[in-house]
Amino acid sequence: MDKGVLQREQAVNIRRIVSQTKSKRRRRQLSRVTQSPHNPRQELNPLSSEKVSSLTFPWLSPAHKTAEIPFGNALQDKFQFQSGDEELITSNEPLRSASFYSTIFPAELSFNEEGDIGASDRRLLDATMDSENTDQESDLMPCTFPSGEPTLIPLTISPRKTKIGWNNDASKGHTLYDIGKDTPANLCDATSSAAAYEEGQLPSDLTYLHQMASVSATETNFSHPRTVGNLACSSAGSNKLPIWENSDDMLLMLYLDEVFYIQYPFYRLSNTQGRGWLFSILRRDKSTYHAALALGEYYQQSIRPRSSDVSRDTACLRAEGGHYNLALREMQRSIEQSHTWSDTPGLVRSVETLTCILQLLFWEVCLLLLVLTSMLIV
Amino acid sequence: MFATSGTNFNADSLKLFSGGTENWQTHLGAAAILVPALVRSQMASATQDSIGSGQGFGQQNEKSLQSEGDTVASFLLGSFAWFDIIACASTRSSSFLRLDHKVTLELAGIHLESLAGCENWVMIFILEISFLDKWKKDAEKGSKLSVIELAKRGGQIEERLRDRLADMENKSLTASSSRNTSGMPSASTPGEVTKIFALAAMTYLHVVVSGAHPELPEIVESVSKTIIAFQSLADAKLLRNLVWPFCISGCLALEREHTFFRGFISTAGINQSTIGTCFEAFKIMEECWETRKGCSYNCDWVFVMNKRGHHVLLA
Repeated sequence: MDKGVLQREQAVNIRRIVSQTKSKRRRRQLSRVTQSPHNPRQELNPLSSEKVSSLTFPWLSPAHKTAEIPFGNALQDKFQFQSGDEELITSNEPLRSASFYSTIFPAELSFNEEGDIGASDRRLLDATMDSENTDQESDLMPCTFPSGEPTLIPLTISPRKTKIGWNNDASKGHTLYDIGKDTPANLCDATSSAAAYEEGQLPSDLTYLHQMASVSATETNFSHPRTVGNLACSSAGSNKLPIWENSDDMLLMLYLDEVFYIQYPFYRLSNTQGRGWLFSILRRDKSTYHAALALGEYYQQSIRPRSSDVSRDTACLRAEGGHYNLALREMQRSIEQSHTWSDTPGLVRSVETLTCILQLLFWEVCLLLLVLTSMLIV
Repeated sequence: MFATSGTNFNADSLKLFSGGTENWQTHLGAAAILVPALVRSQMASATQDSIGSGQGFGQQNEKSLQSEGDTVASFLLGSFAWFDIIACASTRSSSFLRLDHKVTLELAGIHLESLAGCENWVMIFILEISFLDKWKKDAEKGSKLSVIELAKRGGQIEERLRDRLADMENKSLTASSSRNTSGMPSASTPGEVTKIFALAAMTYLHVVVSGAHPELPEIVESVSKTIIAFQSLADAKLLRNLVWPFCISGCLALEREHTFFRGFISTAGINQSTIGTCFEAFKIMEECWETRKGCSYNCDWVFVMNKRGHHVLLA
């Protein structure tokens, strides 16, 4: 690949090239999975723990977020949604093929959000493009380390024996709940979503969301039933499809598919840019993510047969450690820190926090009905 | 330099476990801390756009990136401006956000119809009426209210609002005739939502100027027109996005019109389980009707909210 093409100012060209690379990679991944699911090259190629421990994962280390996430991320994430990917297609529209799925959730998405693809880090793209010509190219994934130096980390294609697409590699002794400790390889483990999808399994490219949910559950000792970790464990030796009831993913999709359009029924009519930006913020910002789940949770409750004890239901939605409470606390923390924010990174934090507040505001407006109705019942 | 407007927000002030119903006000207060900086950023961006010319390739790319950010900023500012205006009109109180709504909507290129279905100009009218309401209350408190001045200010708003509504009617007729010739089925559009909000704004204006009297000819006219507009909605389910006009109009409806509001909420499939505040708005109007039967007091939606002890955001 001619690096001369990848001049810093030529973002349009870069986008085109990245798009082409993604297509090639998808095709290669599909054919590789089809032809040789146990390809030795797909074995785990862990990073050094030194490097991985300093990886920037905003949902794992919120304290680092302000300093390490280039706020251009909100803008850079759009980079991932070029070429018609902007519209977030949700479960209303059935996924018809693995390649289609890969288009919506390209494997590198979960990591590239941390990669600074701004003008100063185009080397990242150079390196990625260069990897096109190597045998290992599909096993490399760009990441940004706290130093700001972009690096390629191994992208492991897990063999089919891993029924669930995300980290559950017992041989390495790691589970989802180890995230945030010293799980170098697992953090970079992206499995073959195409194979998993074709087998009716879970899409691996949503790994980051599961990680986020798992970590939050671990951190806050959730009393709510959480299926994420259990799914990974219980299905490892089983061909049965996991049950999704009450999973955070389901709540997220309820938010995106239902609640969002209740709040903004005309958004689809006139906005051609889709909701890629919203998904980008949801992936990146913990408070917004939990606020979205809180709305999904409320919606789920609203469509169920009414409980005789509405006040208990209401208290449950507000419970300590619940999604609303977590979002609220994170939002409060952000507000308290807001006087220290500056320039573009500060503006990004501001946008994220306002998105969270907007969701919480709508949540409160919605919950009012539940509260007042309970008073009528009493 | 990015700077926020102070951090007097404390989540503990929220009524976390008591089902506090004014928590939405606290959230709007939290937003007020961050919104000004975002507005300044958008203003600066708009200024740069107007100045910028003869861009090189890199500048074009930067502008492209900027426009993506603008989308997010417009969404947020538009949403908060919307909530703030509706909050003012729902509770007849002052604005929560330190925001020049009109300038913000214009310079940031925000189109509220793409968010809430109602066009900017109507929301600005509603805000103007809220400002008039505040001016009246302040003047009353200081025993300085001039009814002539109030009528003059209200009359100016009414005249402009009537002109815009007339324009809408004309456009609607044109569109309707062209649709009929093409055989296209009718569908709910932001135009229908805008019209309902505009008619409700007229009712709101007369409540502010003359009081909440359903028999007032101007209110009779605007409420009856609003009912017709509701009946013309292609999709009754849009009602849950028309909570404020529904509540305002219902509270000021004549007794013979109560049946329509009772029936329409049923037609729209709204019940106590429906997400949002539409059903609560219906409860408010029902209580308003009952209260008015018992006394001739100037009973409006805020009177009922105060009586119930809950300020509802009719959004």
